[in-house]
Amino acid sequence: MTPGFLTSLSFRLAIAYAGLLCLSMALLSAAYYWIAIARPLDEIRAQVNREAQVLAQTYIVDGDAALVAALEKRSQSSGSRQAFHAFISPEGRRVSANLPSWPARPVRGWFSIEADIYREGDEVDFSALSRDRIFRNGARLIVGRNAEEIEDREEVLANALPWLLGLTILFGIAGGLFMSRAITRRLDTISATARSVIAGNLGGRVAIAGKGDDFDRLAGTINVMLARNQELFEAVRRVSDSAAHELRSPLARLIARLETLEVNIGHRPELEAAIAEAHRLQSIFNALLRIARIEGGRYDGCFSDVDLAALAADAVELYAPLAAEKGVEFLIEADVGIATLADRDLVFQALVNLLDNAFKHTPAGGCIRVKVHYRDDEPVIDVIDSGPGLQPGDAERITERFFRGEGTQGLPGEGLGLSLVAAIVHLHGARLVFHTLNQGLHAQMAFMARP
Amino acid sequence: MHILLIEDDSDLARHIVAGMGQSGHVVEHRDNGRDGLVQATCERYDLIILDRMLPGIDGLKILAALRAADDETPVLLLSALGDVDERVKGLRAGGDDYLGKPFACSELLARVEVLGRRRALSGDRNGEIRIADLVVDLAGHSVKRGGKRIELTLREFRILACLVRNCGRVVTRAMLLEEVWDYNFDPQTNIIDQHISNLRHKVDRGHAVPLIHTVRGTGYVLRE
Repeated sequence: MTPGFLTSLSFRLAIAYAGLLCLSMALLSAAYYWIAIARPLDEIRAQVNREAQVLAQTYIVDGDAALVAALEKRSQSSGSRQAFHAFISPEGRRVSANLPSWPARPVRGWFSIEADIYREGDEVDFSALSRDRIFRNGARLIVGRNAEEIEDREEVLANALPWLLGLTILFGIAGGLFMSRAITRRLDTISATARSVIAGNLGGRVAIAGKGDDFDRLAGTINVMLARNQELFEAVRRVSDSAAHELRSPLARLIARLETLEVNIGHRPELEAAIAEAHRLQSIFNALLRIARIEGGRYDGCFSDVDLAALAADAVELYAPLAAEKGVEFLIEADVGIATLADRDLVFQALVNLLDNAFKHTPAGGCIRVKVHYRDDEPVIDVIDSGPGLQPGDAERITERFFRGEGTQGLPGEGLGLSLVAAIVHLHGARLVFHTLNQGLHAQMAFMARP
Repeated sequence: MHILLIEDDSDLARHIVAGMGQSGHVVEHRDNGRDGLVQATCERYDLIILDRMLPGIDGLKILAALRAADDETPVLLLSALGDVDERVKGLRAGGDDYLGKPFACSELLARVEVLGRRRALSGDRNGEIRIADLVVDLAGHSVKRGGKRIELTLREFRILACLVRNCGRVVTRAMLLEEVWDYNFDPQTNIIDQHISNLRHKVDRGHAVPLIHTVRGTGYVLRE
């Protein structure tokens, strides 16, 4: 679970889902209780009250015999609910009753009496919802009607309610988690694609689940946007690439004409400067096209096991005379047997460009160190100089084409060397990182660990 | 030298023919692959300059056809596909040298002369070569001048060997890089100049006649 899980939309959705499920379950139970239990019980109570009133009137006005007759008649009547009664004389003698038992002392309010009856060899359960009435002379009348099935329902509901609640919470949480998992998965697909596009994979597209739902529509919209961006980006790149390519042939002819002219009229300073400038243009175009080919995946390189330590030693040997001439201390620390799968020509080129950069910026008396080692299984080449380092904010832009940081005015170069390094590093799935040190710049190429 | 040029860019071809002519080479030009292949098989040349991208037939196919017929005429490939991987492909297909367009005419000339001479010299490539009082033992990796032994690093020796083998011919910086360093790469600066400077220091210092000369704008030459 991620740290932001508690604040995530999916977690809140899961909680809301579980809460709503519990609430609707509670509402359903309450409605059932009201319709199937509370209201029928109220009806029985009202009926029993009415009957008790009438019977009491009968006793007071017409006396014992009339009441007993009325009670007998009532118990015989085939109403929707079985009628129960017990009439006890002031002396405590049972006068008439179809209840098997009753409380010895009068009870205030409503009470239920078990009144099971054997009928045709079968026991039928009854429960009489009853009330007591004590007359002024001490006679006692208990009147009730059957409410067995309603009480059964109440009991079932009471027993079921904890289970229902527990299951509802369980399903609510499970359903919520499932829902949020599904949403998170779809969102993760989208953000993973976005990250891969940010990392430079412009062809990355969101996978469409094919369900035609909201996420698919969102993914479709995002994909259209990404395709449009890629189109625009590639159009820009194509223009600059083809500009470089189309300008090469006229440039070649220009150089050829200038050389012919030089042969015909001899060395002239202006002519020489023009030829030098044309060659400079040519090298810029070549560098641009080379970067474009490597970035565009059109470079048909040859990947093999490359001993980075030996490669670095060769590069250091190449630059050793320059270091001696400039008065720069030049050191190499290479562990033995640092190897990776790479195109050796390109990696050598990248290292040469980094060294070239280091030598440009390191003053006389400075120091340049090359280190080749493993860092967490990754083969790493470090180039550490003692130059002025980078200005804040330059680290992100340093590999842009034609970018030249502050303090590079007057130094040779077109701002393409490090772009080429970045393209080569990217082709190898490696990482290029620049750290500004207290004194100098630390450039690092970290290659992929071999499987 | 008798050279066959197979190149479809007529401007560039005219320029090459003129440039080579000035250095005393005879150049025959064909502007498409089929004619070029026919011409190459009909006549013997000292060298063939072959464009890689030709109308009708790919330069590499012509090269393959020549090599399949046991024709060992040195072939210099020209190509607008100047990147390292294309160069490696061209050399693997049997090319003797590879030059990306655009190029300086002096670079092409230097390479043509070296290639044309390579065949003539191929007999004693590992023997002892003497130039004035300089003695280079290619097999024994030893160098003496005026009878005194000169200690060189392996790289310096390889530079000197390259110059010595092509004695009297201009060797360009790019050629030295290709020959002496085992990497195909594009140096950002004239880094090779420092190596030559060290070598010159060891070979020429204290001698009245310098042997290693700089050819302005092009490269180096070793001569008496």
